Amino acid sequence: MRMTARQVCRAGYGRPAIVAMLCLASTIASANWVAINPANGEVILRVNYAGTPTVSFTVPAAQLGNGTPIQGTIGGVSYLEFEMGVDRPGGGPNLTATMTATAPATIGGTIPVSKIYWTSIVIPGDPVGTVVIASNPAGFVAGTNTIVQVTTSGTANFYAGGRLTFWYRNDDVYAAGTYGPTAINYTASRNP
Amino acid sequence: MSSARLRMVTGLLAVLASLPGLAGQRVEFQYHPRPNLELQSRWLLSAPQRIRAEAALRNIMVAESAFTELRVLVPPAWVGKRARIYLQLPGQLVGMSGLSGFEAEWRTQGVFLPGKSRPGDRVLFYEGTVPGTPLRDFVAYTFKVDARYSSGPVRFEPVYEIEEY
Repeated sequence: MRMTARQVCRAGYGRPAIVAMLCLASTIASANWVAINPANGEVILRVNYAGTPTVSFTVPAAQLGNGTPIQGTIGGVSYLEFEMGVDRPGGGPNLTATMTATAPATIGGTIPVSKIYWTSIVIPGDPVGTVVIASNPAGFVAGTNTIVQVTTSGTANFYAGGRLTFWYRNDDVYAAGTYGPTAINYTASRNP
Repeated sequence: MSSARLRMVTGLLAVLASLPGLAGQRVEFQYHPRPNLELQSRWLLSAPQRIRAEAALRNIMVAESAFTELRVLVPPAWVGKRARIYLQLPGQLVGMSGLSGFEAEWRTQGVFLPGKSRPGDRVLFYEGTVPGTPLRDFVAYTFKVDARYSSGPVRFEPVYEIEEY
């Protein structure tokens, strides 16, 4: 007759040495636990502006098309801060996080989007190891622009970011007026 | 020593080990109705909060359980005796890459004691006369895991030990 360990423990007083051994085995074989699965990895995009920022370029008549870049302004300041954070619990696969900007071909249907470019510096206070967004003097391209990309390598947190100033190249002459606004959408995504 | 003498000695040890009163006798436990719980963590802070938070806060993942029946299978010899049951958490947990970064906290409905534990801790879980076996209560857990120290799903598998007092 086969007996489970528990049955032997109850019934085995005639053979105490074996009983002790089997009871111990029964205790160690406990299989009750709580499994805590890690949270999903996440990519976070943060812009230091509440709502949708509008970058404005105003060209004085005296400087029209003279090649002197015009700095964009956003509600009284000259920059926007873009930050991308990657949080990834240990044990999961590494991932690549990418910040992109999707731009139309033109601003207001007239001015090529490549006339807008940005310069970037590190955001004061960003963590050590932050990948700083590169300046892009070539300007936007129509379609998808890769702003910054980070691939994780084992640890939990990664950052990328930059304090971006936008510039209008001002090397062509366009008729006086207002062009735009035209939306450029920033997105952070991950793979996988 | 003859084989007969050997059997007597080992038999005496086995009997002694089954009596109440020895420190730290391990007791089994069961969750009911299922033996294991599986919980999904979430980040403690929302995404906008996390990106600028200190690493020690940013990486905290939280998992919570509903009240779940826990049965501690106290040996019948303990019924009617004054006993303390301790919950001991191993120093190294499955799914954690070090000794840091894990905390379990639990609430109860009055039979077991509420408390919290980190790896390596031994905390009082029950104190009083054992009214019967198994001891039952409903326990709700809150687990905090630091993502910097996790290496996969974490297993909370404490050991319960009973002592007479």
